Amino acid sequence: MKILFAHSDAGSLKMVEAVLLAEGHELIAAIDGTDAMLALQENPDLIFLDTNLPEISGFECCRLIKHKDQHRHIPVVLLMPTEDATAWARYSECGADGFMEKPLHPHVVRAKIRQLFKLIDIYQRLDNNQHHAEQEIRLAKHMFDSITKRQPKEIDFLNFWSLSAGHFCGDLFIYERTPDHHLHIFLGDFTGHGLAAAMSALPVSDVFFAMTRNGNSIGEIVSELNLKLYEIMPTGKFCAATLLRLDADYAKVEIWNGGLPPLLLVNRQNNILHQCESFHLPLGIAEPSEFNSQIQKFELSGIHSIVICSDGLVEAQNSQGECFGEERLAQIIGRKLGEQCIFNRIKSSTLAFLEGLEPHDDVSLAVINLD
Amino acid sequence: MNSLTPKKLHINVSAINNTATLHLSGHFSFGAHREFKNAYKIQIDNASISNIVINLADVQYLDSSALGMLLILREHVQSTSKTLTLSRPSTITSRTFDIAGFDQLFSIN
Repeated sequence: MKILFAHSDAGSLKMVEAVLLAEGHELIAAIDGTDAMLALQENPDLIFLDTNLPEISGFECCRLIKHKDQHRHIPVVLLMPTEDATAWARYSECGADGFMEKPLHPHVVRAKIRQLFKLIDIYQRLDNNQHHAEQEIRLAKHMFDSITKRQPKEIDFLNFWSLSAGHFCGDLFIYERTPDHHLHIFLGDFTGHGLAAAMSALPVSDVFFAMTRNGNSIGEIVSELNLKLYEIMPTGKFCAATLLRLDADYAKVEIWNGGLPPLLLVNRQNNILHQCESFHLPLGIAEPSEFNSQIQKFELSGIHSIVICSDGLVEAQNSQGECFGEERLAQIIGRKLGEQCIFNRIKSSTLAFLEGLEPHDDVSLAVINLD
Repeated sequence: MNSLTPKKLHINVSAINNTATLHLSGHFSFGAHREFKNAYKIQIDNASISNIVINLADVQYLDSSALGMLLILREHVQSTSKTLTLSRPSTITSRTFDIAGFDQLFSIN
C-alpha cells in the first residue's frame, strides 16, 4: 500500500518510514501542504496529515482532498493536538476519517494503519458497486433507446414528454400502425427503474410491435402482454399501462386502461368530455385465465385531444409535499386563457409546480391532437 | 433521489387475540422493502396469528414498489390459512388502489 505522510518534522518522518517498511508499505513523504497536495498524483491509498503543516494546513489539505471526486474516498487521518478545542471544531468540519494524537508512537501508527484497512476496503467496494450500477444504467438506457428506435418516424400529432426520477425515464411510450393504418399507442409504467424496467420493456415492445404489424386487436395484444409479464416477472413486478387504437379515419378510439390515471378526452373548448378510468389490474398481475381484456370505445367527433399520463405526473410532489393531483390537471386543461396548447400547458405547469425538484417517480405525458 | 429529506416508513406492530396489525406511517416506497418484509414475516411465521391487518391510515405516499410489496405479502399469506386485510387507506392511497384495481385482489376496509 502507498501511504502519504505529510509532516514537517524529519525525525517523525524517519520513524514512520521504519514502521511502514516493516509492515511492507511504501512511504510517500511530504514536508509541507503544497508538497502533500502534489503527492496526490501518486495515488496514495491512505493519507496522514499533520495539522501544523507549513503553507497549507492539514485541515485545509483534508478539506481540498475531500472535495475532489477523484480523491474523496481516500481515508485521511489528521495528526493533531487533542487538548485544543478549536482543533476539534476544524477536525469535524474538514471531513477527516480519523485522528492521531501527537507526539506519535510507532505502535499507534501501526495500529491505526491496520484499523484503516477496513475503511479502505469499504470505500473500494463502494466505488466498485457504484461503477457496476453506472454500467447497468448505461445498459438499461441503451436497451430503452433501441426499443423506441424501432417505431416509425415521429407522428406530428403525437406529443410526448417525460421527466425522469433518476438517470433516465423508465416509462415506455411506443406506437405503430397496423396493416390497415389503425394507430396503436402504448404507454407503460413499470415497477422499479433502470435495468428492472428495461428488462420488462423488451418483451412488451416485442409483443406490441409484432402483433400490431400483424393486425391484431388491442384486446388480443393486452392479453398477450399480460401473459408474457405474468410468466416472466416475479410477483410484485408489473406494468401499469394503457393501450389505444385510433381508427385509420380518426372517427373512433378504443382504449384499454390497466392501472394508469384516467385518460382525458377533451373538446376544442377545453372541456373534459370523457374520463377513461382504469377498470383493470396492471399487466402482469392477473392470472392469464382471469385476465380482463375488455376495452372502452369512444366516438371522436368533437374530441380535440386525448391526454394520457403516468401516475408520476398526478402524484408529483412539490417542496411542501403537496401532490400535483388530478384536480389541478383538470383545471390546467380547462384554462381558457393563453395560446399555449394543452400539451405545453401541462408540461410547463408541471415544471413550475416542481420548482426544479426531481420527481420521486418518472413523469410521462402524452397528448394526441386530433385537430 | 430528490432533494427532499428522505422520508422513512415507520411500522408499529400490535397483536390482539389472533389478529396482528401492522400500522404503517410515512412514506411507503422501495426504501421500506426490508423493514416491511421483516415486520410481516414474523406474523406469518407466528402460528397463533390468524389475521394480518395492514393499517394504512397514516401512509402519506405509496408508490408502485409498495403495491408490489403488498402483492408479495398477499402471495405469502395465501400459502397459509391466514387472512389479510388492508385497512383505512387515506384518500390518496385509496385512489391509488382504485386505479391499480387492487380492490379486485385485496379485502380493503
